[in-house]
Amino acid sequence: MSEQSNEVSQQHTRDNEEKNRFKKTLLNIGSSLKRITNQVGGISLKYFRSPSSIFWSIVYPVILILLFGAMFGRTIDTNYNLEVYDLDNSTESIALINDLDNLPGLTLNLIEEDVNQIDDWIREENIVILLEIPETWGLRVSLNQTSSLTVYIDPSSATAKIVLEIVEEVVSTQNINLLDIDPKYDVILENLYTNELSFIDSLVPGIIMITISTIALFTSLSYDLEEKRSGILQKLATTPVNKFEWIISKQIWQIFITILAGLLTVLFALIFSFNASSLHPLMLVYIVFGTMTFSGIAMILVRIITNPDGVIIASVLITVPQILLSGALVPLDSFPELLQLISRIFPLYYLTEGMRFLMLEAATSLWWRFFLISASIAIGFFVIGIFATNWKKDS
Amino acid sequence: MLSQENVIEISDLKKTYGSDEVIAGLSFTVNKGEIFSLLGPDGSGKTSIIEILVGLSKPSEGEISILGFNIKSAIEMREIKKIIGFLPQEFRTHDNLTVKENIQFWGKMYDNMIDTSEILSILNLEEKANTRYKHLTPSLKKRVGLAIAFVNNPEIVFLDEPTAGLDQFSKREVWDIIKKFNKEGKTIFITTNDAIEPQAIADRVAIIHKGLMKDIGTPIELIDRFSSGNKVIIKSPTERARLDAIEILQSACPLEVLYDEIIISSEEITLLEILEKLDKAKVRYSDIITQKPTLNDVFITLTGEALNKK
Repeated sequence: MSEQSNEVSQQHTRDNEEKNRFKKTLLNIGSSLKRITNQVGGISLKYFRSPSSIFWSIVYPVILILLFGAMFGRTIDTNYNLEVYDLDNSTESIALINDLDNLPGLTLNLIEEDVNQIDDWIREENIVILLEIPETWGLRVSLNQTSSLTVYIDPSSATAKIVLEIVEEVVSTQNINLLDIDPKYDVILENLYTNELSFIDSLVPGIIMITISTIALFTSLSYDLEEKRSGILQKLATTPVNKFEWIISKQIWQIFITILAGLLTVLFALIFSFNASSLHPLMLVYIVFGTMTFSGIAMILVRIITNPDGVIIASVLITVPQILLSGALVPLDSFPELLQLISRIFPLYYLTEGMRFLMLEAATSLWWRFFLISASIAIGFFVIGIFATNWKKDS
Repeated sequence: MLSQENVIEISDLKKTYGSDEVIAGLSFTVNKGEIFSLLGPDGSGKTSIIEILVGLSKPSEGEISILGFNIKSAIEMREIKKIIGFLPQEFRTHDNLTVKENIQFWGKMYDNMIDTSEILSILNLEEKANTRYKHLTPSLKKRVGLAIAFVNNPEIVFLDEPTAGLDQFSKREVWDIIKKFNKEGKTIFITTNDAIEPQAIADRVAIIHKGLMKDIGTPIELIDRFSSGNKVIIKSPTERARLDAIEILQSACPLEVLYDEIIISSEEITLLEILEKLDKAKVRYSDIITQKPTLNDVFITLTGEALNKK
């Protein structure tokens, strides 16, 4: 009987100990969450009172999308000019001018005056492309004789080359019509992917990732270095806060800011006819990957960098080659083979391409491949960053 | 185990960085409720000691316990962090937060934060509560640093050169605040290279030099033990007068020349004898004062070097 009651008592003690341990663990988690929340609150106050932080998180992504949208998003206000000097004034020449004039995006400017030296006049008027229809051109065409049109072009102008292609296309169509034959073969365009994306659609992931990489790198570097130099980091290490709580707090804030920057980019991209239906929920995960990757790189660099000048140099050295060579802005297929290979060393390449594949609803294997590589890079840099963080003097 | 009186026990503490030994075997204790000062010149190992005590750095050798907790145990160190306060040297808190926000930020890291208005009142910072830290004067910044060090109602507070860079008036303000907290029962551990500071506020002082303990005791004990009476300081109006005075006096007693002052120990010669000698030789002087010895004199006696070599 006594043995039994002893056993019951021991069991009771064990249960109590277990309960106490559980209670203590819950209390510890509660305290830890309280400290993280407090730090996130402190960081947010600091952030929104700092003009440079506002610039990087709000102004910078807007500038970037407005700039690159205007440069590359040709879906709006795409209009080319063609000067036409008609010396013939025949039915045929008028028909050709009408055909050209009916093309969308091409504005014809007919030269009414008499021009003696056409070359000089073009240079004086700053014209990049001019189509001259010579005298008797219409007559020769009607007699089925070969007849040439003259195009004056400024070879340094990119738009002039596009207009030339349009003119050539119209001329060859006219030729086929005159011969009265049916084309023997034709080209049918088939999109590889389910979603049809315009250039601006494929540009948005690149701009989002450039923004995230810059924000995460610049702000992490300057924030971490400032805390290190001011003694805040030292002081924090002597409080109940631990290194992981500090890093998690910063990371939560970084993710919030980068998501905000991503949303702003998408919002302003709508001006340039960005197709919002191509957005995918997993793009948020890519934003988290991007933030982790570049915060991790920043944590590693803070171990080495000791002054604010170093922050600027390191940021430029890391971001500029990536922006130019990762394919975030300029399509990789326009690069020489060597540069295409080099692009694969940049984390930005995998993050941008991965996000593009998501938007394109691309083949599953490719989508997963980029997702896994991006996740590995993010986790890798972040973990190395945690170990590299100099929380205490000896560490 | 810790005795009832001692809150810090350090035994044979050593710290090396590579082949450089910055602490070469220190042993001492700090009593509960006292202001304990570590006095030594720059590079003597003061900051290394404080960094070890607050858990920023690990000792190479030796045993240390704080309030009975062993600092070598990570779990016990976690407990120590809850009950200590620390003000690092040249500490600057968040520039873009106000004084009040900064105090709250640091206070919320602990479970036992003092009420913000109470700490603002103790440090006379109420009027500056809503001013951003970056707009404060160095003296006010130091006060905010002290508020942060005391915000968790700690049992022991470690202050690493808390008055460095402050003018005499601001130093006195800081000393008053430290004494105010000490009266409430807090143990204060303070490092300094200013000999006046321990004399002004410390109950006990440990003099360290090149990582070694030179002596420990109350400021009065140390001065009595190592200083030889009052000093007579003679100031001369001209370079010629100073050289004449040196010539007259150096045959009578050993003397020390520091800048434009001639310093003589009053044990060697009385003030009256000095005056007689100078008057007889018709040597002019602009001022003659007698001064009590300081901890700086103790330091010079112990190490042969001045505390502040500037």
